[in-house]
Amino acid sequence: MILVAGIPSEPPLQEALDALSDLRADVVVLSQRRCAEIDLAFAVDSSGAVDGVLRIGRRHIALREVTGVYARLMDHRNIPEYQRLDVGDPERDRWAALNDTLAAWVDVAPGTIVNRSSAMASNGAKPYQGQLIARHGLLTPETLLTNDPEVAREFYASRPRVVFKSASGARSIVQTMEPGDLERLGTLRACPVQFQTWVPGTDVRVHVVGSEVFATAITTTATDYRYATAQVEEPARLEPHELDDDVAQRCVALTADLGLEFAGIDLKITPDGEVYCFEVNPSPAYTYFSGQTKQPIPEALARHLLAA
Amino acid sequence: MAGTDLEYAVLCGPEDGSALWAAGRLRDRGVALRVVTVEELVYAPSIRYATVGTGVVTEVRLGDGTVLGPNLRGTLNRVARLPSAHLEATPSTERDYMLQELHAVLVSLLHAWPGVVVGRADPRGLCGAWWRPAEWMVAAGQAGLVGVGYRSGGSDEVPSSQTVLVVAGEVVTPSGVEVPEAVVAGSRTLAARHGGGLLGLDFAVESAAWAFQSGTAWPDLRPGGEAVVDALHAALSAREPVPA
Repeated sequence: MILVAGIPSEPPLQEALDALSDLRADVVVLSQRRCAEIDLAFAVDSSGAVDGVLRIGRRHIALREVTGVYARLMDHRNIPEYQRLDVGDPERDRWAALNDTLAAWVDVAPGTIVNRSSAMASNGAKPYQGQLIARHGLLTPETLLTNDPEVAREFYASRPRVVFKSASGARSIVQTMEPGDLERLGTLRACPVQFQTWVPGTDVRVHVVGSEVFATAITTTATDYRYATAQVEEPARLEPHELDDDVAQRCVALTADLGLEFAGIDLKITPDGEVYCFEVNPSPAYTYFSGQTKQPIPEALARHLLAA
Repeated sequence: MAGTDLEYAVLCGPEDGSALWAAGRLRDRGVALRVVTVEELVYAPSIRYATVGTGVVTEVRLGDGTVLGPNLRGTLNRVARLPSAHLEATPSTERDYMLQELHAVLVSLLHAWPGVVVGRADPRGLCGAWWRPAEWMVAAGQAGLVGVGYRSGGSDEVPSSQTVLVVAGEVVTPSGVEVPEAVVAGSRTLAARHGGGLLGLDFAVESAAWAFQSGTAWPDLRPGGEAVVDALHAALSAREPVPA
């Protein structure tokens, strides 16, 4: 049995559910919007084995029967049905406890778990993740983290183009550093900032599902292709890309080494053919890519979940 | 030590009595270390983390000119929290973002920290991964330890516990207590899997049967006495990276 958990109307979950349905998979859907109808309890025995029960409405599921999980869990505090509960309503505590239990179970459940929160943690510290990426023989952009305005100024002055971006998992727009930004370097004192040498070339998003690889080339002149329309008033163009076998295998090995079953890896291939890796997204919104390129990513995800 | 390059450091909060105790005992053994508080670290005038080829160089210059950089040989890392006093006047959404950023910076910096580090940072903990109770219990079982078990949403009464410390792969057992060999071996395996280099493992002991209860990457070191100081001294003095 496959458990799909999160917000079912969200495109990545919806397309995975459609693909699982096409394969006639036995699927149970846990909607975080319907926590009022859900109970979850699990235990770990003296040998470390995990079992428990999930109730959704009138259906009771023995957790030992769940062989695969696709979870894209939202912070329950952002779910409208939770926000509509009165402050002080005990149901709020129950929602919090349920979501905490769900996250804890996903971390220890046997089977194919896409993805465990423990494995997703590296995304919260991108320079740290960069250290792991470098061990897999992929180039990483020259990076500086600093709270020292003089060090930042020197980095900027000695490179043709520098960008700055968040170091954590917080979503931010990659920005090219401009001369006017030098006046703001004093604010680094409150919190160090990540600067990187800008790498020219073609952005390539690689989705790894187990050992399957789907590469998508992104053509745009924007600094951050995700915001191409806002930055250069033209959307990015996405096309399937044939990735070099060696690079593809490095992406598969990196994904496995991070403990991930499914990942979205951001590469850039320079005009000289060098391959830089920027980050590994452990909860990729893959439908942005598969929707435009028709690459069968949801089908691969469904197969991977069923292969357990 | 103003204006000098440090060779040995203990990184900790000023309230961390356990780290301060270890620092004092290591100094008594002639280790010329300095305690660097997490506030000194985060509020340092210059923090620099730079990639060089496939590696990383880190350097922190403290307010008094002391440099924590490539000359560091050994560090006991007990950083367990982020200082946030400097952000008190910052609007809450911006403060949350800055704390996330600061966490990412410290994890990255302390993971790449030069020399031997006991308590290597992980994205799930500044001095080593903080696991959920269920995760500890599953990992203990996989390491060959018998556990007391875990139930979501509740806990059973358990008998009084014994703490075993694991320092850089060496299992330090309580003085005068006979610890079964299987527990020593399992503790070593669990520590290797954890990877931080410093663990405290609690066991329920009843009729000579040891059952794993819980673990932490931020244990009280003092119950380990001189044996834990011996293990720290050996680890920090090692020329090669130490095992977890």
